[in-house]
Amino acid sequence: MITLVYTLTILALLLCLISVAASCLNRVADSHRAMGAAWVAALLLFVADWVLAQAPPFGNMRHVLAFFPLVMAPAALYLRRCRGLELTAWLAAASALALVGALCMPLQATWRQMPALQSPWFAPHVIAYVVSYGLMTVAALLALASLRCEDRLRAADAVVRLSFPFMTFGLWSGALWADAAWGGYWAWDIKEVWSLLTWCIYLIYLHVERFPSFASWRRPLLLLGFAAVVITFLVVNLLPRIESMHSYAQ
Amino acid sequence: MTAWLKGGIMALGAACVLLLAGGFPLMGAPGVYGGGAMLVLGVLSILLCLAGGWRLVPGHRVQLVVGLVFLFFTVTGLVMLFQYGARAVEYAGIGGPMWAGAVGMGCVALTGVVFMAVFGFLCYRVMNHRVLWLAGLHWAVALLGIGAFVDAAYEVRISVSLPADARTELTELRAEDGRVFPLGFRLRVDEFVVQHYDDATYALYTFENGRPGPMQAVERRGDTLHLGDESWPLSSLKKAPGMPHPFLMLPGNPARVLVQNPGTVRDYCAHIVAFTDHRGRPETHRAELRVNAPFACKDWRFSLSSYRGEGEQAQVLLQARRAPGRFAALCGMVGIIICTAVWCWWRKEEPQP
Repeated sequence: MITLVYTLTILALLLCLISVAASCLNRVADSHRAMGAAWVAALLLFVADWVLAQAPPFGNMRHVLAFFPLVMAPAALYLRRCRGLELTAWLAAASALALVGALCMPLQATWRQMPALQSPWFAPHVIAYVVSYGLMTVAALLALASLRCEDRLRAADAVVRLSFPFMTFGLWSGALWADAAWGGYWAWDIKEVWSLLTWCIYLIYLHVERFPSFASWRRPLLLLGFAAVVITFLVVNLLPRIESMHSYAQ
Repeated sequence: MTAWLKGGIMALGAACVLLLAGGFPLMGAPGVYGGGAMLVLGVLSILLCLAGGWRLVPGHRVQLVVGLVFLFFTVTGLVMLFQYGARAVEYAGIGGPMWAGAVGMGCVALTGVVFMAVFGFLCYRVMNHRVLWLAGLHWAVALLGIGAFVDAAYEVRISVSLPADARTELTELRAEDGRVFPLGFRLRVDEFVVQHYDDATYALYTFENGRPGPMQAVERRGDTLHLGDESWPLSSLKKAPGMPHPFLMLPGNPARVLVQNPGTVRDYCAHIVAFTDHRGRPETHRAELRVNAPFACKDWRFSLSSYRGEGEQAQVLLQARRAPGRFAALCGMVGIIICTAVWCWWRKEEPQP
């Protein structure tokens, strides 16, 4: 089973990279097909992780990173169909980044869901954050690409608009969950603080995006927001000396 | 508008700086969260949100207030549906005379559906401009801030340890600073149950001169425990009063004890009883206090934090909390989630009212 998990992770990663490469060669249909295949591989990986962990597989960083392609492909489809934005390759690139991260993490086969995590809030809270962090990664990539092509920044706006409600839900559903589990909706835990800081940065972005006088702020804010996402998601959990009520996410 | 916007951006930027100062992974200064700068910034942010929401919808303010009231009732219906629907399913699962309760809870859950449908439709009709949701978002942030401020000033949060002996009753709470808060009711823990995953480990302790000597790990194969040439059936390990875990005393000299170390904790639950009175008549409330299911009585909410020991000797660690701003804060959070989603995902670009 462990071999299967690694095989599926590598397969999903290769398919995401093929999707990016096909898009670079202007073979858009092939890019879509590769992303679709990557989604199927990610779905099989999710099922394998679930069987191995005997619980919803959101128990560690590897589980969460391996879940990224599963939400990025539907997001690409939504952006193409409903917003008229062809961003499949960008979302595939973000998925590939996450899968590389997943391959670097140790494979903890069994996972025992602790009592605090046995809540109806658990899965929606984690999934909302995965969607938002994945999309914010895409927005940051688009912000970098906008240095060469200004149109990319407009696409980044649309991606942030899609992503921000998920981030909002993740943050405040966490507070509602904490109110039930820990007896208080806010504890100034370091993970909470960084989540709030990240949310505030994107809130500033949403305040400035429609005003031409603040146009020069948009790109730095997107990159700053992404840096905050990385710190919230990875650094706070991986730094060994930090004590956090969220340490079970390590 | 731009001046207000600049003010809002400056307030958000200042909040980011303070959060960064407190939450910097190494050498951060968490003291800033309760400091004067954060409090002043909080007040300023609330005022800016209230004013921003007010100024965003000139001429449509009554519409906004009415729409938010409808939104509140819609969410109330959703909460009723989930809360009472889940308990109806739970009661139905218990069976027997609980069916009457299940039907009652189910009816309340269905009332929630009606609430959601009626008020959701009214809210949809009234809040028919995207900018109304943006204004609602500002007011929701202000509501959250007001609730948080009320809690910061008047919240009482006390950790308390209660034995699960069905005798000791909690009648008052004593804070660390010596203040005493009478509960107005009596609370006791009748039973405390811990469930473990099936990953228990086994160890053999050898006693030399009455003291525990080296410990050896024992391997479990099916229903038998093995160590070298020796084996013991798993069923031979028994519980005994005063012993937290099953064990087996092995005959011979030196004395040896085979002990089952418990597996990872799956869940724990305290069966609690609260004795209150309603208009002079005594009432008894029984509840299962779980990690994600706090118990509320009068103004107090009790959360199950942790425990020490198991069985009759267990000490249940509770967190008692009285938070007058909690309801406003939670309403603000729900409002932020809904208004953000509608504002960001609104498909049609509406002209500003």
